[in-house]
Amino acid sequence: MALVSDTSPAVPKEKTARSPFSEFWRRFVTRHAALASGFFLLLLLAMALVAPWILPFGPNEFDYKNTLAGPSALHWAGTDEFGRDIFARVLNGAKLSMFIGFLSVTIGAVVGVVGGLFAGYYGGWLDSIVMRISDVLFAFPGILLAIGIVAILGAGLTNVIIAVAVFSVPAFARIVRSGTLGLKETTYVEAARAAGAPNAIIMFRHILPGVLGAVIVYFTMRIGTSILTATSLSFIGLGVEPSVAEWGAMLSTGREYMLAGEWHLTFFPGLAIFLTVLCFNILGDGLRDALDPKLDDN
Amino acid sequence: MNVLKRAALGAALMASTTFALPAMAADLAIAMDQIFQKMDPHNSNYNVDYVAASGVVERLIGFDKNMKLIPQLATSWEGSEDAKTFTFKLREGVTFHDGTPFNAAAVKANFDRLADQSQNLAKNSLFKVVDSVETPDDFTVVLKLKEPFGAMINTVAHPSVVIHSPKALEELGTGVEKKLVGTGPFKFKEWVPGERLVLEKNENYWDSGWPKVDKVTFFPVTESATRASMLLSDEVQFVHIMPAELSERVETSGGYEVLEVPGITVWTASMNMLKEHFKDERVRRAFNLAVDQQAFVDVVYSGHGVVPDSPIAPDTRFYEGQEPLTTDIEEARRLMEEAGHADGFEIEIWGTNSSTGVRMLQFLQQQLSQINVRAKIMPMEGATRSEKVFSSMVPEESTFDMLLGGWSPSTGDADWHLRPVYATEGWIPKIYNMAFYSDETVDKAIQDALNTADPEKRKAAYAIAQKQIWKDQPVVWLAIENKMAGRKKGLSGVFQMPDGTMQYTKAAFE
Repeated sequence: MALVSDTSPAVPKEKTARSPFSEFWRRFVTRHAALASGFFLLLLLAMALVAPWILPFGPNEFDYKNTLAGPSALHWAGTDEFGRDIFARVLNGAKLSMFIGFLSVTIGAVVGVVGGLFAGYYGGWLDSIVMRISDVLFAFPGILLAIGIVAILGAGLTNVIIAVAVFSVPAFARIVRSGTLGLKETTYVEAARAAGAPNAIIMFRHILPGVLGAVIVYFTMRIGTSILTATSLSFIGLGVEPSVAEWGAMLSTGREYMLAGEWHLTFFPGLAIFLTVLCFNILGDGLRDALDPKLDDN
Repeated sequence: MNVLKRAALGAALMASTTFALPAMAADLAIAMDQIFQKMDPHNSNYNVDYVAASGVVERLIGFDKNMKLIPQLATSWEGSEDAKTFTFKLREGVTFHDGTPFNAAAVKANFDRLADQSQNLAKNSLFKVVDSVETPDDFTVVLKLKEPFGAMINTVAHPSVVIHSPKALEELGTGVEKKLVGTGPFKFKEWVPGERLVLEKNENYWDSGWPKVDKVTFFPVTESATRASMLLSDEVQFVHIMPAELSERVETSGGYEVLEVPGITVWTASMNMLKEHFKDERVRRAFNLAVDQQAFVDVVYSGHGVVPDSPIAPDTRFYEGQEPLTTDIEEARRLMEEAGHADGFEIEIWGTNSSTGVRMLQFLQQQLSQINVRAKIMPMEGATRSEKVFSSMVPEESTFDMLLGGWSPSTGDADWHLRPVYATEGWIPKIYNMAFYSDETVDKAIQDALNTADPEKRKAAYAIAQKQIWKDQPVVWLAIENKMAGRKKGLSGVFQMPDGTMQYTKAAFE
């Protein structure tokens, strides 16, 4: 902390010499909460990825002689009703949740960005169609839309990803469209057009980078929401199979035992969801602060 | 003056509570483990439906706590020596809720409906042997059978053999699935499917002094922990099927008690024998060897139950114990290899989405993974499962590999377990043979037992059937769970039965 405040007075002089990335990074490292969140998420992901080689138990390894045991040196988070290690299951859930979160939001972002870009750039009927579709999708509460989609497509991991992706699309489309509307009137875009650049080049090389900052911020925050939606779907039995080590499914079966005093079945997956979603949101906040050119350092 | 006012207010409050309490306490609320499907017991296979109906529509003969026959609308009954004619003397002075008098004609209308196989009701098969229903006088009904049938009295006592008001049957037809009119201590008031069922006191009930409660409300609550917390928060006074894992918590809470009786429901995972891999007996044996039944009882029912050692439960009439089930993964793998399935195969298991149902499915999935069987488990909501299994099922086009289910013979007799679940005539969607099991020896033995009234002969025939079924293993046998219920102390006359139904018509608060 001391180091950061020491260097900041020197910043203005070198400002012009910095690349956009180092400029972003310089701003980002001062957001300690965001930095810590990012670090936590990376750590969680790393642990989840190496868990199969390190942990003595697999997420689906059952032991009927050791069911519903509380946290111990051997089972850090205790065992569930089938004697499965809850710590291993929480880590497996982390892998799964991050996978669902990243993939669904990526799909949603790609579709939304392209749609928004075209809508904003060309305007007219294309704009109307894209925006009206977005309006319709926006009219549904997120989870309701996801339930509807899963109800049509059927339960399962792939369909959860599709459902969450679909309800991410309209937000991205709107953000990109409004950015595009502003940027297409700028002098450098007009210059590019005057120089005879084709529409595709103008859109993707000149306008897209301008809206990317907002997209990245929203992307990060959206992952948190998506994880929440995906776990909710599993909780109500519309997501992954009940036996899969997924946070929502774990909460769903664990709640049966809450009344019996077996708190650890729900506490650990609940804590994992809470921390992960919180970290994604804080990270998103930090990214917005660091990426927003209008925000001054002070 | 202030003091006076306060005193008056206090007195008024006290008076109102004193008067309000008995009225409130006379309302009974019950949490059920399943969602009601159809109000008409003639056309339902579900215990919850029988329970709901039992307060409104009565039977000629009922069961007491120990499944012993007791008179309800019939005062006495007798069977002829050849077991082909059964005579019932009816209770006089009884009227239906709609004012129709109860008499032999009313009983005949209901028995004719059950005997008419073209009605395609779920319970028509119970009356398959009935040839004609005669009414020599206003309060005598005679059942004439095509063949001798020793279990006929127990069949008439089955919770589905109720007497609807003949007027309601005529006016509503199949509409009695949604609205009931009977002679019972309670009148049907309101049914919001999936939410609640409300019955209210019948002021003109024939058994004077009863009922002692004004209103009975049933809440279907499939999630077991919620049921238990509803009892603990006094939202309900009785929980039908108390989750075993929470029984200790409820008992130690004070003010509540847990009731437990040995059950007669046998839980199985039927193997679809129309599918190529399950036609091989070795595969079916391997499945039974791979599943650790004792662990199943421990995990799913927290140890409150026993491992089956016959297709029917020990407390069912004509039960014959068979060789105990064993768990032997090595032998199971060897059998699978011998059958050409060393690498296993993929299957689909259907079950229910209740807490226990999901646990059963997960357990099976884990156990079968030990012989390389990759199971996709499909927990279904009650109505969806019921539709898929009992309405739109075409055996030859069935897609499931295994189907989880439990059957209890509510007649207490071997016939009503072996015939629906293992005879060829029981194939779903008709009754409950979910394995599409068909064996000549078994069919013949079940038929032989039907054709005689001699208990010794019936016992011998059922012994043959049980032995053959146990050898063929059309299902993976899982458990016979104890029937558990939670009850608020001070409430009497409400209890669960070994077959998974419950009684509440004699409910009374202290």
